[in-house]
Amino acid sequence: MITFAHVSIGTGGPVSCTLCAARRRASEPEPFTVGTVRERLSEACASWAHGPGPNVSFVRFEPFLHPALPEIVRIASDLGVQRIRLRTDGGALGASQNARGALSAGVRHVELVVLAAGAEHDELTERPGLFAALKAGSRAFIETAAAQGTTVALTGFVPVCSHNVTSAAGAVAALCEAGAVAVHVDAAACRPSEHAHVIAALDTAAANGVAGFVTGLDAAVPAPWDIAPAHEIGVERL
Amino acid sequence: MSTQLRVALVGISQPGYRSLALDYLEAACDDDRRLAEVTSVRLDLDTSIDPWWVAYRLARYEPAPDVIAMPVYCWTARRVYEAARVVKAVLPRTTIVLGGPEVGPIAEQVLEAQPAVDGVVTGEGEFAFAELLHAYTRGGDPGAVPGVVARVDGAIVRGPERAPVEELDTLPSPFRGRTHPTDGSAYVETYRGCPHRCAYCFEGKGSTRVRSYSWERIADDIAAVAGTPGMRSFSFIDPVFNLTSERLGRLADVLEPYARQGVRLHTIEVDIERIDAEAAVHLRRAGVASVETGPQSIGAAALAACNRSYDPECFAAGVAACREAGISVECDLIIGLPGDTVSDVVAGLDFAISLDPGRVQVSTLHVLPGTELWSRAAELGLTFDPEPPHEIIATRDIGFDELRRLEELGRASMAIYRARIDPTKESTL
Repeated sequence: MITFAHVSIGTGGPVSCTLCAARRRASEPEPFTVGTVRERLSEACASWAHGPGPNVSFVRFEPFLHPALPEIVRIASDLGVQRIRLRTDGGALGASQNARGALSAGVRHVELVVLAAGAEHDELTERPGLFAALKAGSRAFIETAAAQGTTVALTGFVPVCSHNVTSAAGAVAALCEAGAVAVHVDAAACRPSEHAHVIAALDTAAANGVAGFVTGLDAAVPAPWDIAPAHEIGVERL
Repeated sequence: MSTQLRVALVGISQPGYRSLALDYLEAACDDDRRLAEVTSVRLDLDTSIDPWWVAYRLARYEPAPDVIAMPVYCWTARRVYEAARVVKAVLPRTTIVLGGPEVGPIAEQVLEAQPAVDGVVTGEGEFAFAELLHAYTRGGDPGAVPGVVARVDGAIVRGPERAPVEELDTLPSPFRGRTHPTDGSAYVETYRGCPHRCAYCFEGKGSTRVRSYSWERIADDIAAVAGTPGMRSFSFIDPVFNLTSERLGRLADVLEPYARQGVRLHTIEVDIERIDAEAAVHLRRAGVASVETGPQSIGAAALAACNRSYDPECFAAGVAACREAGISVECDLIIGLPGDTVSDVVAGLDFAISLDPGRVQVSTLHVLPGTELWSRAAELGLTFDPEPPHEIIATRDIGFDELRRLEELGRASMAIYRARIDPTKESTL
């Protein structure tokens, strides 16, 4: 499978359940400096021994809020990174020239973080209008890439907790509708009694012809990309 | 039927392609002096076409066709059958003849299941079809034509067997003055048959014997296609382009002048394990831009069941040699082969991707008529859709739902693999 090194570009993002965050008393999101990210990128590329690559996924901070995103992507490209993935809330993808700019810089893969479908996503994130924005953003990314003849991938990330577990299947369905080719359900924060909902979410992906896989359960199904912790660099655990 | 036979040749192909089979049929009929009174029209359509629209187009011809001929493949069969039903209802006097790998091996079953169809050409169709038309023009018995199974007075009659064409040069070339190959979608063949006996494939038709055109004919056909104005790329339908080292070198000699003019060959099928640095140079000389190869599976049980061999080191070396020569490689994997487990499929995907070949193509097994898997399906524990395209439903080792999930995994992996920066095209901020 395709391995991505997870490279943190900050702390506290891109989006998570605010109810859980309130319980954890999480600090305000903060971007890392370009120097810090460059260091982590260099480390990831220098030690690359995981098949086709290097490939990186920028995580832990909303990339479109990072003031130096273009520079970070350019550094990755200059370091020879073949696959650049942004884990994003998708809200800014549809704005202005963001999709075009990301593609132009070398971003080929967007991973949308979705907690639930529709208004529930907005409520859990306390971001009114975010769900509609991410749908528009995913559409902009796919359509802009198609118009350019650029091959891209759209995938989804559904972090599941007790506040959204019953909505996980809806989140997966929304991602399938948005054009995701794979959905990663992170069930690490789930209780065993909630696992049936996680399985339902995976079945929703399968029924929509989309690859679904899960982490945080014992019986993980094969993943289209490898996110082994050994390849995660500078990632704080949820 | 009158001697003024009017024939409609109808090809339903994948979008962007044109039926080479019909080109050969057309050339054979044009070349047959007995068919001087036969006139033909040609309809080239793609699989997006509504079968009722096919029928509409055919029904609009004035006068109506006496004979409609359609090649059938597993992925076009449903459309062809539906079109045949509608055409027959509209033009009940029109004779409908089918041919191709989907119907040839199961001609009687097709005629039983498709009452609108009047005849099936069972093997190589050029001479059989010409003779069938000749039989129609003189009021002869179509059921007596070698290589044809026909409906005669309500009964299904199999004519004598027809051996494959021994001297391929006796087949009129479809390229010289007859067809106008289009850029990217033209195909040339240099031989028929296949040296392999892959159990899922119909190419060798149960034999490993290969019949080749002469080098003069090969050079002429290549010249006709490669020399077509505007031609930038074409391909070969040869099951193995690098059949032998000597043949590969000679093909490169023929193709090199066109390659120097910028003509490229795409998706050439090769035995990758026999490609070393020297063979890669020949491929490059020939203008090969991309090759297609296995491994189809890396599971020992599936390889044995499918009569295939696989050496991971030679395979990897072949991919590396091609990449070194600037040739993109497409590694093909088949999901649902007998003997493969879920782990085998995932390991195959892992292996293919680890080679960074350029492209990985994952497809689902189709149990095709006339193949070893078709005849041994029950023994091998294969459950497949009897209706075309005969997709695998479950195997002894992989259930229905697991197969579907593996298909999804394959699609997702391909998409993510392909979503990468292409250094030959990219610009940065």
